Amino acid sequence: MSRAAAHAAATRRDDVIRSTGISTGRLAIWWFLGSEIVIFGGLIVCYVLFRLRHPEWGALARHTVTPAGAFNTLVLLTSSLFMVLAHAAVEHGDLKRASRHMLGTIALGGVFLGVKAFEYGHEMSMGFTPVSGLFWSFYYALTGLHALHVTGGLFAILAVRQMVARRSDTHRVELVGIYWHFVDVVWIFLFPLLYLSN
Amino acid sequence: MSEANILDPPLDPPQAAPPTAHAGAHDDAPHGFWSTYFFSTDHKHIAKQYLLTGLCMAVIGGLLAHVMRMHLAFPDRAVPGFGEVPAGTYNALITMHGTIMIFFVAMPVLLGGFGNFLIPLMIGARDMAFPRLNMMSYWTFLVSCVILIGSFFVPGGASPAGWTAYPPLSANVAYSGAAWGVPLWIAAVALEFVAFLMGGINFITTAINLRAPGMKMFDLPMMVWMQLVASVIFLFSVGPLVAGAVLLLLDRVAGTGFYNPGAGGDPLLYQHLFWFFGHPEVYVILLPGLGIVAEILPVFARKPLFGYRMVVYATLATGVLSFIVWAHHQFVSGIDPRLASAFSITTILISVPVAITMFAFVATLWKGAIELKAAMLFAIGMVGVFFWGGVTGIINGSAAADIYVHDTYFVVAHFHYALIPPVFFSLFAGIYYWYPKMFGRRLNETLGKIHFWGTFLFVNVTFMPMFGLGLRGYPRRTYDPRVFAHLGDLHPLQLAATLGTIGLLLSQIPFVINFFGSLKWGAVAGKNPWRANTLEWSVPSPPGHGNFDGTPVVYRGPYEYSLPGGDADWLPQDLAPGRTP
Amino acid sequence: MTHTIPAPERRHPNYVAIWGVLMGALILSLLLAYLRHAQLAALLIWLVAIVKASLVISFYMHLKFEPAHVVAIVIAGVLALAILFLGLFPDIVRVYGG
Repeated sequence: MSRAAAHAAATRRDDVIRSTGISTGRLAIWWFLGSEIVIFGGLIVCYVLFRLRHPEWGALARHTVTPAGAFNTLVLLTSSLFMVLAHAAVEHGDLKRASRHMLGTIALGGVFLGVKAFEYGHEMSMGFTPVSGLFWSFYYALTGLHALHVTGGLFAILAVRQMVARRSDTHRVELVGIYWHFVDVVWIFLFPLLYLSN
Repeated sequence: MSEANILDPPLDPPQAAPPTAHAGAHDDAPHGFWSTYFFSTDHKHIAKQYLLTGLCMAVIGGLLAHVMRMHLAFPDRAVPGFGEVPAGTYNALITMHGTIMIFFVAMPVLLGGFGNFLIPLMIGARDMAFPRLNMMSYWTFLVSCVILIGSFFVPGGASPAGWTAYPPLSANVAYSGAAWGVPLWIAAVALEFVAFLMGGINFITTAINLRAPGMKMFDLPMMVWMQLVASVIFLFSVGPLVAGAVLLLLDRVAGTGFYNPGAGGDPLLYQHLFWFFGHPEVYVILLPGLGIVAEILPVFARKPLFGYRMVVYATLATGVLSFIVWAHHQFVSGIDPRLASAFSITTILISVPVAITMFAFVATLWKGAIELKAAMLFAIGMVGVFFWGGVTGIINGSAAADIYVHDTYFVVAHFHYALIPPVFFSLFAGIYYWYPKMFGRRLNETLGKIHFWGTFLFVNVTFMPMFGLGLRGYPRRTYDPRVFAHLGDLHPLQLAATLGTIGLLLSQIPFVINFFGSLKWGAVAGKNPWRANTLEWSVPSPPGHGNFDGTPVVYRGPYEYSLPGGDADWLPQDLAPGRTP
Repeated sequence: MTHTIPAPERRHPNYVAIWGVLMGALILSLLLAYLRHAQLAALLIWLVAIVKASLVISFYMHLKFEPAHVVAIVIAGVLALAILFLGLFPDIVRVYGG
C-alpha cells in the first residue's frame, strides 16, 4: 500500500485492525493452536521416543479396546462434520440450522467422553491403572489431557451456541470450530499410537 | 458479557470497552477506584500493574539473595533480620530467588510491563487486540505470585528443588521434605505460563494485525520486533515443558514413573524438556531488554539505529537458533557425547547474531551527539555489562571447556552477567526513559545518575569475584564452605561478593525515592520530552483511554534522526511529509 | 449490541464428501493393522493419519484459505517438535552405549 493510499485508508477502521488481511480473532485462534501443538506434540514426542525404546509396548497396546477407539474416531470426525456445517450455515445466514448442527456436535462430544469413561473403567477392572507401568501412565496422560480438551471444547461450543441463539457474535462459531477440529486432529494421531499395534 | 467475549476482535475498542473504563477518557479524575486501578482493561493500566508487581517481586528476590550472601560470608552466624539458615532453607532460598527473578520479575516487567505499555502505543493502536484477555493474563499472573509466595508458609517450606526442579529431587518427597512446596511451585509456574501464553497471543496478534495505516513491518520500532520475536519463541518453546510439568506432577502426586529409571522412565527426559524451554527463555528475556536499549540509544545519540534491517534479521536468527542450543546446559548430565559436540557448535553460532546486534548498538553511538541522561547511562551500561556475560558464554558453551567450570561459581557469574543487563539495566533504562510517558512527570536526573553508578559499580563488585571463585573450583549451591578445606583461602572473594550485594541493594534506595517522589514532585514532562520519533511520543503524557485521538498515519521508519537537510534533528513517524516537528 | 466482523467470501468445499474420505481412511488404517510386515504397517498407518489430519486442517479448519503466515504457525510448531524429537532421540532411545 502506498503512503497516500494509507492516508486515505486512515478513516476506515477495518484496515486499521486487519493489517494482514485475516480477522484478529482467527489469527489469535491459530496462535493459540500453535501453543497447543507444542504442548500435545511435546507429550506425543515423549511417548513415541519411549515406545521406540521399549518395543515390548506393542504387546501392551493390544490391551486397549481397539473397537472402542475406532468408534470414538468415527464419533469425533462426525462431530467435526457437524461443526463445520454449522459454520457454513452461519455464513449462509441460517442460524437455526447452525444451532441444530452444533447440538449434534455437542451430543457426539458427549458420546465420545462416555465411551472413553467406559474404556477407563474396563481397563482399570483389568488391572491397568496409571501406575501399572510407563505405557499405561502415558496412555492415561495422553487420553486424559485430550479428554480435558474435549470437555473444555464442549463448554465453549455450548457458550457460543447461546450467543447464536441471541444472534450475537456469530463469527465465533468458526473460531470455536477451528479449536474443535484441532482436538479432532490430536485424536487422529492418538488413535493409531495407542490402539493400533502389532 | 460472557467469558468467551475475550476473543471478540473489537472494531472500535473504546466502544467495546466497559462503560466504567470509558468514562475515564481524556480527564485525569478516575471514575471508580476499582475499575480504574484493579479491573481495568486498558493496556496502560495493566502494564503498570505488571510493572509494579514485578518490582515488588524483585524486592523479595533481592532480599532472598541478600540472606544467601550473608550466610555465605558469615556461615557461622545468624543472618541479621532473618536468623539461622539451615541447609534446607538455604536450598529453598536459592530455588525461590531463581524462580522469582526469572519468571516473576524478568517476564512481568519486560513483557507484561513494557510490552503491554508500548506495543499498542508504538504501532498506533487504541489498545491490545483482546483487552479482556489482557486483564485475565494479569490476574492469572497475580494468583501465581500469591501461590509462589504462599509456598514459603506451608509445612515443609518452599520448594528446595532448584529453579530447574530436576527430578528425582523434585519428584520424590523423600528427597526434599517439601511435601507442599514442590507441588505449589509447579502450580505457580504453570499458572505463570498460562498468563504469559495469554499475553503472548495478545502481543503477537496486536503487533501484526493492529498496525496503524502506513506502518509496514519494517517501520516497527525495534522494541515491537523484539517483543514479537520473544513472544513467538516463548509460545513455541513452553509447550514441551508444560507437558513435562504435567508428567512431573503425576510422578509427584500419582506415583507414576515418567522420570524414574526404576519404573522404565528417565530423569534426562525432564532435563531435556526443561531446557528446551529454559534456553529459549533466556532470549525471551534478553530480546525485550535489547529492544529497550535499541529505542534509547538513537534518541540520546541523535542518530538512526545502525543497520535496522540487519538487527531485525539478527533478531529473527537469534530466535530460530535459540531452539537448537538447549543441551549445553546438560554437558555433565550424561547426555550422548555426540550431542555435546553438536550443541557446542550451535551455541557458538548463536553468539553471531547477538554480537551483530551488539555491534549495531555500538555503531549507533559512533560519532553521535551523545547525551548522558540516566536512561542513556543504563542503556550503555546494559551493553557494557552484557559483554562479560556474552564472552564467558563462549567458554560455557564449548563442551570441553564447560566440563571444567560446570556447576561452579563461574556459571553463577556468567548467567548473572548475562541476565542482570537485560533484566535490571534495561528495566531501569526503560523506566527512566518512559516514566514521563507513563506518569506524566520526569524522574530526577541526579538521583538517576547516582543510581546508575552505584548499580554499575556494585554489580561488578558482586559478580566479578565469582569468576575467580569458579575458576578455582568453588562449587555453586554450596551451603557450608567450611566442609571443603581447600576452599578456605577463597573466603575473601565470597566476602567481597557479599559486600557488593549490600552495596547493590543500597544503590536502589535513590531509585525508590525517585520513583515515588517524582509522582508528586517531578517536573511535568509534556508530550515529547526526549524529542523522539516513535508514535508513543505523539500523544499526551500519560495518554488517555484509547491512546490516539484519531488514527495516526505512519510515513517513515522509527529512527530518522539528524537527517541531512532537515530543519529539526528528528522526524516523528506520523509527521506528514514536508512539515517540521 | 456487539459488532460482528462480516465473514470474507470464501469457497465452502463439500464437507460431507471430505467426511466420507475420512471414514474410508479410518477403515483403511484399521485394515492396515493386520498387515504381516509390522514396520510397513506402522509406516502406512502413520501416512494415513497424516492424510486424515491434513484433510481436517486444510478444509475443516480452512487453513488452505488462510494467508501464508498462518500456515507458518503450524509449520513452526511441527518444526519445533521435530527438533525436540531429534535432540532427545539419542538419549531417550539410548543409541549410544545402550
